[in-house]
Amino acid sequence: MNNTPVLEIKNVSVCFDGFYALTDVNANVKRNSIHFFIGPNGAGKTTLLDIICGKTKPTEGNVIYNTQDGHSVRLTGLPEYQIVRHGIGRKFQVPSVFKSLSVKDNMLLSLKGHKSIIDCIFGKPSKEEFEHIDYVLERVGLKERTDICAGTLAHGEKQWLEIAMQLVQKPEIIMLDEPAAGMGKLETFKTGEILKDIKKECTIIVIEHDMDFVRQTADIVTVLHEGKVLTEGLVDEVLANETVQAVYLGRSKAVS
Amino acid sequence: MKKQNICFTIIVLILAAMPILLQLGFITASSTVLFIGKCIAFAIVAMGLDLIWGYTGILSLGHGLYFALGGYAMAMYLKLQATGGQITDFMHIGGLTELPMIWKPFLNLPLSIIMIFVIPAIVSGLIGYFIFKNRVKGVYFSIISQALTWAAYSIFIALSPYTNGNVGITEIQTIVGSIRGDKNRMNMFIVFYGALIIMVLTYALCRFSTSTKFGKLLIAIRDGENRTYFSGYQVSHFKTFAYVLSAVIAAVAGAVFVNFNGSITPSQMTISYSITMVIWVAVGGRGTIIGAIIGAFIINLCEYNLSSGSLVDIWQYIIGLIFVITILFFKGGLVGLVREQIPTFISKLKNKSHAETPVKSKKGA
Repeated sequence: MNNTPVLEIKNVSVCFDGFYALTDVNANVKRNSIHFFIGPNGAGKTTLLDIICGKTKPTEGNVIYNTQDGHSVRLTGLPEYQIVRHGIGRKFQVPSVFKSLSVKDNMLLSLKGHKSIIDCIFGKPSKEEFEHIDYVLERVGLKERTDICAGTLAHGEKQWLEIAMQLVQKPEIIMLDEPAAGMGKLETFKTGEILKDIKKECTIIVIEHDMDFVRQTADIVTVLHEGKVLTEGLVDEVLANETVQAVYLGRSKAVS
Repeated sequence: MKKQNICFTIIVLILAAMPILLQLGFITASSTVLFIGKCIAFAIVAMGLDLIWGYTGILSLGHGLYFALGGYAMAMYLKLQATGGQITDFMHIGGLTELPMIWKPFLNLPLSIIMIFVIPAIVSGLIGYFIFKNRVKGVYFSIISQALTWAAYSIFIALSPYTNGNVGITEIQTIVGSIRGDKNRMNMFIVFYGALIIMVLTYALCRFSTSTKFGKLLIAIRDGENRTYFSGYQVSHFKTFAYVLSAVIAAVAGAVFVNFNGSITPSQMTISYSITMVIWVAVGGRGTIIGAIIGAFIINLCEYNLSSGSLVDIWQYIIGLIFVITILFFKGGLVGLVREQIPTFISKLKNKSHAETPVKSKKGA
């Protein structure tokens, strides 16, 4: 097993018109782990995901991706569709599935490869690919909903479909921005179980606010605060940390 | 989906019967058939516009440009046929002594037909490449497309020694010769059926491309462009391709139109002409190829019948009103109305009559 971190975030800073959303952030993500980024609103969590997936360019710093077979790819500066083709998928905060298309078509469009215009006009998905789609849909519990228009799915189901759309690409890393947002307790728990199942095959990076969800699924937690890394470690250590409680947990308790 | 093909077949059969009805005397004026020929051209451009707007979600308010480019290419060939390859009157007046370079390819037919495809493909390809690469979208794209059409219109008027400015290219016959008068009726029928075949081919092309993964991807771009990028697609290439495809279809329509119209002028390139095309698609039902065809025929037939009488002055207002009502209440246009809104309305009525009795008993309790 390859022990180098799958993703190295090195000295990343982002400046939006003089405001530093992130300052000198360093983090390593271990292969086949579920790595959480938590922090109060405005801590720069989503900005960090934007940088990893190429949506935002960092002012300084690099993001390095180490593949299974020991290659290193510098993600910073690549357009997003190429980052996706390297095997790094992303789910957005607001569920964004293709709502006029069926669940199956959503999955078909997300398959790995066949991304050129010619392939799209003349290519036909193979039998293995259809089977793979069925397999992935079964894992997220949407097997019975294959032919339904994605726009009519319930909120939780849309979130799962979007996770499935990442999964069907056989990714190395999946990034999820608040996958449990707007879900009930049961749905959240199920999402956590899905993630634990997935991590055998890939690495998962999650942003989340729900502390029960963090306790249920996280391997490693990085706490961001005002654009800086506050602390990083195992779940229990981090949640027991007094500074963390002061900036984040304490405050959320005070609010609730 | 099959219903769409049946509907299209019916439309084609009705159209195919038109020349026969004229021959048998049920239609008295041959101008009616010529007008329907123009409608066929409009239906073709509407299908192209539907690809880019209805499917991909890019509202182009400048398709008149491509329609006119195809029209001019055809008209230039026909004009040179009429003058026997000599330079035209307006070139003389403009001070030219020999045929300009840009007119030379239009001396022969195969090259002219290639030009009908190549010129709009290059223009739209360049425009699309730069606009979509820079991720200009939504209303900003619409405004740019309008501005470009306006710019092209001004250029065509300014270059009057080459284009005959405002007047356009007139006094031309069709690709098979004159179609005026009874003795040339056979020619007219050839042109008419030729246009009909082109319409069927365009329909087949649109239906094929929208049924493949490519078509689904266009819908995906409309629904969530960001998601499409993050599914690993180079979205700007797809948008450019769809835009070029739609521009070429518009140009073919323009070329067909010239044959029936007997002239092409820069007014076919104006913004208002381009917006009219958008109205056809909206009223018929965007996102369904058949809707574009239906919209083009219905609006134009209404215009043909209504604007000749006392309604001529207010016709523009009526069509504007229809457009606004469609956008506000019938987003799916006529096709959406038949396919979704009426069925849901009927089922609502049924539910109501079912529900009424228990509701009353509840009140009583």
